[in-house]
Amino acid sequence: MRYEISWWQFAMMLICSKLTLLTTYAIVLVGQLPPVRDSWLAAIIASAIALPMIFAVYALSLRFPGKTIFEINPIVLGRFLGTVVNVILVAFYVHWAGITIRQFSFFLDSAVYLRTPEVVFGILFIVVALVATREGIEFIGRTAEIAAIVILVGMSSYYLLSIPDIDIGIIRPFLGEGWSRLWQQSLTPIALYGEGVWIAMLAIPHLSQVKDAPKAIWFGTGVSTALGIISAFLLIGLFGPELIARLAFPSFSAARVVALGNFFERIEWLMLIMWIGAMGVKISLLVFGATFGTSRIFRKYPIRHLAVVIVLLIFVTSRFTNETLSEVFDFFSPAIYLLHALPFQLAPAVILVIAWIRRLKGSGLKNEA
Amino acid sequence: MSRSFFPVLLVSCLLICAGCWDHTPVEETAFVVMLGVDSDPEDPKRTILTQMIVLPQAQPQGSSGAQGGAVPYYLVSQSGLTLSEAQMRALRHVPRYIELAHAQSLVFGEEFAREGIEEAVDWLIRQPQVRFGISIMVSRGTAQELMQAEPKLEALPPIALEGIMREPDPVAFTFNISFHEFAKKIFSEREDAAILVIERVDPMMAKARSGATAQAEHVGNELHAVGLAVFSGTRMVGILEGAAARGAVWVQGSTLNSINVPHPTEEDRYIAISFVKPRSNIDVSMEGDQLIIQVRVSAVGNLFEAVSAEALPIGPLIDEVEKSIEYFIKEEIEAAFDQILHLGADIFGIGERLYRRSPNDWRRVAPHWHEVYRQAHVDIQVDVTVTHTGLAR
Amino acid sequence: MKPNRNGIFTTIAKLMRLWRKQQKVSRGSLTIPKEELSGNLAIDVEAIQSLFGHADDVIVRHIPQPPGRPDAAVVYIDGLVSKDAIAKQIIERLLEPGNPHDAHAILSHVSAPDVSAVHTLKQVADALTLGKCVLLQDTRREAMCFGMAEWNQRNVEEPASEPTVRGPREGFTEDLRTNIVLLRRRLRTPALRSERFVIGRQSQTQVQLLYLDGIARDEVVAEMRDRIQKIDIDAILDSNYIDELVSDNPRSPFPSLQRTERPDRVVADLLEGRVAVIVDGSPIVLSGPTTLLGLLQTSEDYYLRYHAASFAREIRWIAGLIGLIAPSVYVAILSYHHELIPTQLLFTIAAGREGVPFPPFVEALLMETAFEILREAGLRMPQQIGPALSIVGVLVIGDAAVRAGLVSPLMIVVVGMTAIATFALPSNDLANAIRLLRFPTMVAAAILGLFGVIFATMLVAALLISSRSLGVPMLSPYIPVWRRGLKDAMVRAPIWALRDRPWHAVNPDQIKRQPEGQEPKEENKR
Repeated sequence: MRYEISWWQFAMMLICSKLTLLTTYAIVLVGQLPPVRDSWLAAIIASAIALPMIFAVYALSLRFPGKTIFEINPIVLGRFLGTVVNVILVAFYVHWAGITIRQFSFFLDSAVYLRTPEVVFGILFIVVALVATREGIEFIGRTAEIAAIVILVGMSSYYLLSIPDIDIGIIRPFLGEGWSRLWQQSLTPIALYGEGVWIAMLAIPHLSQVKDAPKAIWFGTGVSTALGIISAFLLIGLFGPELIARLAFPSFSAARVVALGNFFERIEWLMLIMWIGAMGVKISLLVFGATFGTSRIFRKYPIRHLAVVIVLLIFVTSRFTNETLSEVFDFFSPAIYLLHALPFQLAPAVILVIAWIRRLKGSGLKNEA
Repeated sequence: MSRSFFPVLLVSCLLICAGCWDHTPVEETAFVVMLGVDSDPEDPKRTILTQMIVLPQAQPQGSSGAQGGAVPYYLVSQSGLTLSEAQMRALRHVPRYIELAHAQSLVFGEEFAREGIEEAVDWLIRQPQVRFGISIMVSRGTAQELMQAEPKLEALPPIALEGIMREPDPVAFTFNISFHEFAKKIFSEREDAAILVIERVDPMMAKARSGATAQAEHVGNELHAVGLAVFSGTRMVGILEGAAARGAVWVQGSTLNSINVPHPTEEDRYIAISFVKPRSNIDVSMEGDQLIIQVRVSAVGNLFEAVSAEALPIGPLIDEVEKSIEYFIKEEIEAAFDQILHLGADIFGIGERLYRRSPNDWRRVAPHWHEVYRQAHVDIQVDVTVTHTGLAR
Repeated sequence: MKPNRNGIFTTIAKLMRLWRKQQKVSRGSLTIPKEELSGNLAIDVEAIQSLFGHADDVIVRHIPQPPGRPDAAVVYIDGLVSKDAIAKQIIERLLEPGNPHDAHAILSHVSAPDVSAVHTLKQVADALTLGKCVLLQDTRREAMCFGMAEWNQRNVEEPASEPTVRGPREGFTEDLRTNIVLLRRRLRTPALRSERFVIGRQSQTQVQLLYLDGIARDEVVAEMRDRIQKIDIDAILDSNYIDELVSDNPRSPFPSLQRTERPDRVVADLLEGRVAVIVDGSPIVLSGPTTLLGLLQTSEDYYLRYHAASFAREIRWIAGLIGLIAPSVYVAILSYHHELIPTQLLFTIAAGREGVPFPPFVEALLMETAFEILREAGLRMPQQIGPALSIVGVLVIGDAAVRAGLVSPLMIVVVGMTAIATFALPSNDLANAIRLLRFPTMVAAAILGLFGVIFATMLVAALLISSRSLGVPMLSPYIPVWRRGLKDAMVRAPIWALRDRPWHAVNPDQIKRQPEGQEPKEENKR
């Protein structure tokens, strides 16, 4: 069976996965506390750095048409080394899925459901991801369409509603704290915007027209960058850096401020709604990536069967990573976050360089994905 | 998907066996609408938390009508080394879950505010249910006493407070800041907070008959904003009242309902002016080590009430009237600045303004900012235009 | 990606298949033997009669002939045929002296319009059950069938389940022929194809597959034809049998084909490239592929001004959402998220709930179940008792429940709102699915509050996302997005702007429905 998704769905996947972290942990701000007043610039810097990493995946796909990274690796690196890299990539997907599940369940647990054990949400997420993985990337792509629309509408409406509370003058003084702190601030978001890499690794080979990929990358990254800028700016303008340093979930707290008249208050539920779909898409993509990679390592073992095993593995992983909320927060500090994320986000670029040096190209004739 | 749909739903539903952890039905919840924080007079380390809990039975209902006269709330007070402890203690005798999500206002006792409110603010930030729009205020006396008021028109004191802050009282209207703004200001080193001081009053404040005797002891049941509590950092350092509070309103670019100025020609008579289109502008600059604050206020005044038998022949005298109004406003603003500079409370965010204007200047004076602020030179300009004549409509 | 490496399963599957084959053989004894006619009149008549178990409504009229000529007999089933016509057109002619003895020459004598020749006993039986009259002749291994069908049937009436304010008031009946006539009268083009299938080992039901040749996408027609041909079942008593047997998502509670009683609706569907299936004996006609949008549309949408029609569509979406989640949201908010309710309202609600012994979930479950019982009772009950039931229902669900302290007043509002909302949906099947899914959603709300509601809603959405109807995604044109289809989705664009047929069912070269420039010019008004 050949799965196919459109460029629009790919873009929506990018948006979903980036906006989830933005709306929960306000990741542009959380890397360094208290954040710089010009944090909104950090979103631009970070995505400017992350974009080439995503385009490396596209270049790789052009070089080896119709092949996924898991098939490219053995070609470029040789069978043994390629398999080793594949295993590492799968391990990354598993680990990252575990961490993401943990992050999201902790968010729900400490923001809304105080007395509910956090493992409940982990189980629910895992179940959703299992179903979605078995349905394939086509299904995930379609779900991403709804989820992204919902999260976009939700975010923009609550940003609009919070405008009256915002101190626009916070934009001055421009670069008042100097470049070095700003650079420090943009480190963590690099890995956030770099998440496009592992989505692209899954999505681009499945695109119905690979040539549309740049469109999707520009659009997806552009929209999520714009929202990153806006959310950083609004949160700083709403709370000021000093208060943000004391808030666990500034985005969520911002929703606690917003009110329309005397009756339309507490729009956290709106956040919850807009966020759950996108969360499902992100976790499903990670689980799908892990399953897909494993199935490629084991000579295309059917995904429907493999998914159960992988999902259990991921669940166990999630139980052993980031066991407390403070560990989750520490994880966002630039050193740890980049260390975990960047090696994998840079992997396609490295492989591209090796392929270029070895002058390898995929024929594209016998692609039967 | 259609194959796995019902199994998935079933698995999710099986979670019900594990229980509904956060399940708190309305009828098992005690809703707190107002919070008061006082320092414990017996032990300075302890803090008293007073919570106003609504009695749903006593709420006036649609069809059955009000159940006459019952007070629709009761107060729970406990003290503890921390506010969490105080609340925990209350839980022991309140037979329901206490929920703060509907808290409308938080009152600091005067004493507590002077000792520093950081603990309470930090506690409130950590309550995930509390809405950030909750109003913050300081009570004259203890918060507990204030919360015992029984306003007549509204069933609940916080709703009465909300009504006061909505429009009629300009001081209350201008300085009704919500919790997140307050927290933002007290945690910022370049800005200080000013919040309302609330007091209980007797609605019959002015007694027509002279010689009413036993009223001095009587504590009123209505609530009333008397002035502004100004903070420096996390401590309340003083209260602006009367002219100084009104001056602060002018600086904020808000307007007073009306002010009285002496009649230009007749003695012992006053004319009342109301204002529209108030505008204020604060400009901050450094000249050497001298901080210069320039305040510009402009407004358009309407002749509101001419306490005079005939229509006021104001045409030729308009300049004179404007001048006396300007002088009047200027004096009030001066009174405000005198006090806050003296107290070292930067309630207009002068430091922030300076930082935005020239961050380098700010960095230079930041270490001894308080000294610089106290010695600031304030330059006030008021510009008033009176438009309407005093003909009755 | 089917697994074929696990040997033990394949073995089991093979065994199962074998067992099934045996079953088929044993069931086969019920079918009619495909014996040919013997040519001996007495034997053949006896064979037919014994086939029908000597039923007394199978009537045999012997027509003795002068010697030298083969004897003849007319066989028909009483009540299915017009006796007058048989007497006048067949028996009278055969009794005339000098009639030809050659079977084919009989055609020059008999004036019946619909004649065919059959050779086997099975064909004879089929013809008889279809209301034909069979003429058997001695020495001939061939029987002539004359179409004389006539029986009592319902007139064309306004469809009860799909009334309309503006628009045609004709509805399908149980008779296949009448139904096809209703369609032909609206679609006078030779391109209207009608393929006949006979399904049902016992019922021998006629099923007609209709489509517009050229417009309907060939793959869709072939797919539907294929699926219908694969059906092997005892009897088809209603079109729902077909629906369930050809569905893409057999486990989904959502319908996979559009069902309607309105010929105008079917014609519109045919014009959009869909295929229609008419089942004899059922006034409900299926058409497909359908989408969720299709299920939320009525033919009246096109008979009203487009502003009103678009508004009605939005209302239906809202109604669907309310029908699905309103009670769950009530449960979730009252048990978990009190902060969402405006303070004053909350205290009123809390006062209403004081003294109610049940948690909101049980309360909601109780009232929803009570309502479903009332609804079901309303369907089953003789019409004369209707008013009595509504009075009791009003009392039970309404005031009395509140006064008895069983439920809070707000719950009544929610139940009422939900009930009305589901009735606003044009498709009864969709409403039923939503009614059904409402209960698991309530359970989810009781466990996890709003998160549970959203989780359940997402599951329903995921179900719809993965559902297909004859290969077309159910949520098209939204997912996947097809921009030109959005003109006739949530909103209905004016007729002159609806230039495209839905892509998924139409042959690619037939997507354009009408040329551009149909929009009336404003200058014309002068």
